[in-house]
Amino acid sequence: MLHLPNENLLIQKTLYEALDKFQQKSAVIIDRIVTDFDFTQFHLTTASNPTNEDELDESKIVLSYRSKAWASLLKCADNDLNLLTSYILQRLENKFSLAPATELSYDISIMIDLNDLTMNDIVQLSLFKIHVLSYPFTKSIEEFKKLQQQAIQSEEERIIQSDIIYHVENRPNQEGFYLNASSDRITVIFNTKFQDYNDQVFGKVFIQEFIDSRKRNRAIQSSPQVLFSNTPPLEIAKVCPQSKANKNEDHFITFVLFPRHFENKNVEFLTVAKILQFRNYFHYHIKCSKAYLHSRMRFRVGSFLKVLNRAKIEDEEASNVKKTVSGKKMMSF
Amino acid sequence: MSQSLRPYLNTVGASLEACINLTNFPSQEVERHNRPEVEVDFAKQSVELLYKPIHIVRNEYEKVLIEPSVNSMRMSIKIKQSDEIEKILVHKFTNFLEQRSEAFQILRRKPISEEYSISFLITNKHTETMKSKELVKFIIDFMEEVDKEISEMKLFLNARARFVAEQYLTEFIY
Amino acid sequence: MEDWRKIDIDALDASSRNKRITTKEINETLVSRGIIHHYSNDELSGLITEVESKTYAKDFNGLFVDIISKYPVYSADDEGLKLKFLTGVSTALINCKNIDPIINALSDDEASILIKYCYKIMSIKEFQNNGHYIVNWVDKIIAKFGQGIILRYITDRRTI
Repeated sequence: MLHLPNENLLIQKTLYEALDKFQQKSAVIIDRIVTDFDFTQFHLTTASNPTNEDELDESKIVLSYRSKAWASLLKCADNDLNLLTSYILQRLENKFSLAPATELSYDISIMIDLNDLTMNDIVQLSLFKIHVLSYPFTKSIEEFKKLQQQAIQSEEERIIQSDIIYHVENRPNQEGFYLNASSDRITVIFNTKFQDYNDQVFGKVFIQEFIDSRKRNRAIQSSPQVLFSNTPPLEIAKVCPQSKANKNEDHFITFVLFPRHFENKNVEFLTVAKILQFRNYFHYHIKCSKAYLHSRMRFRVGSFLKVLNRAKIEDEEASNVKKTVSGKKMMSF
Repeated sequence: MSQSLRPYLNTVGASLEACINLTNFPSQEVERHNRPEVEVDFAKQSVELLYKPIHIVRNEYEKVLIEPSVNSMRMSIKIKQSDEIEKILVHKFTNFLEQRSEAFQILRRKPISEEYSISFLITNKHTETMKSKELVKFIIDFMEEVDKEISEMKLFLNARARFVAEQYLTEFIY
Repeated sequence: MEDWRKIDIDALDASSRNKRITTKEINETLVSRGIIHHYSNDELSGLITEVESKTYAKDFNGLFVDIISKYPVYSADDEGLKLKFLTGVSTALINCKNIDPIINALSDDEASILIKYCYKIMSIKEFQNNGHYIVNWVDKIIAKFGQGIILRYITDRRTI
């Protein structure tokens, strides 16, 4: 598997089955926890009847979402919960409403009505995580458009950079990404860390290829530019203090998105989804390479052993022992 | 093959063959003990049972140390590791081998010092059950193959990284 | 033996036997018995000058056959000076490009001495960078004189 899919397959499957059973008039009760990358967790449950708490309403499902990123997303929305939730509902084409109460320990719960759930809705719901995390991207793109207009209006040719930096921390240890818009581009900066020294070295090889492959391969020259540094890049230097303890620990990977990467809604969605997958894709392939090298070494050790076994002196006796057809040993003297 | 590799391997091979003449020799210090004399604690070693160690050095990164004695010989190899990646690969690979030293018999569980990547310990027990010529051949073969393997793995890693990066960035071409 | 009562049993005790003989002690014994020559600083300095001038003049045949493998420096007063001497030998080994005629001119004993220098130089960290030149020498010496020369090296107590 080369690419990680954007959809959460388990949500898709659960909803599809629920819908299928519901349409066959044999509704099932659902209670399923689904996890995703970046410490994201979903909970799918059959909703309870609004009039009677103890009864279940089999035609409705509550989808609850929890993520490490929620707190920083709220910050991007100026701590306005309504703003964020209405954005998410709007991304789902306003087909769903919030559940009467947000489930305990979850960040948002939405109500799904099986009576008018379409296949497209299921796909959209399985992309829930991306819809949530796309919030700062949408904001940045709006900002970019504003700055672009400003730049056109102001006579002098210069690049206007926004002072707003969106920071989303979706993993522990301050790992996350930063977004900064300017009048000609949007910069996405990932901050990633490696627990293991070996991963760090392997990571460097991979990062280098990300940087170089764009220069080398003409076919992908219109992809976002990739940059790397161990210290916070200038764009985010004022909001991201450099960790003093270990300079090599921080890895800042910058993607420069140009207008062509978000020129229409469809392209914008693909870009955002792909960028959001970056950290997982990157770490996933480092792990894959390690696994391959591991099995390769295991094989090699076996072949060395074979060479060594050639050195063993065959038992003198063994040459005299022959086996009969039935497998019995027969000695000749 | 690089020009200077052949003389290096020849010398190692000849030196090993000369040193692998081992005989049974019970300890003269401890009753009923029979131990490889090279492995005896430094302070308790009997000098008359040890021969002069041989250093064969190709450069700082590739060298061999052979320590012969009357009933055992120890050979340590420093495998070429010119950058961080190779260092990791060599370390992983030797670890892998050392964990299977039971099966390898002549492999030492740990190299004799930080300076070397891997050590072999051959005793008279081994030369009694195995052909010494073949043992030497195995070690030389090992030295050749290990270098090849490490550089192939490094190439693989680079190729893989390149492929992965290109595939990721291709997704942005609309 | 009539005098068996007078045998010093303590001297035969295992704990006194455990004493490790060092290379230095072996060297001193060999020097005191006149088996090897002990070099004073003046003698060694003279040798160094000779090695350096012959290297400069590219007279490698004379250098290796007549000096290095005839006057082995097994024992010397000053270790620093000895290292300087080894540096000279190492430089000569590295710079000498035409090895075969020199090796062909050596006798068994002379080759044994030359190979001692080669192994010694390879064991010193400062010289390891150019190891492949020395390995080349060793390879050629072994090719001509056989494995016996290695056996003589590991068992000889007269060490450089």
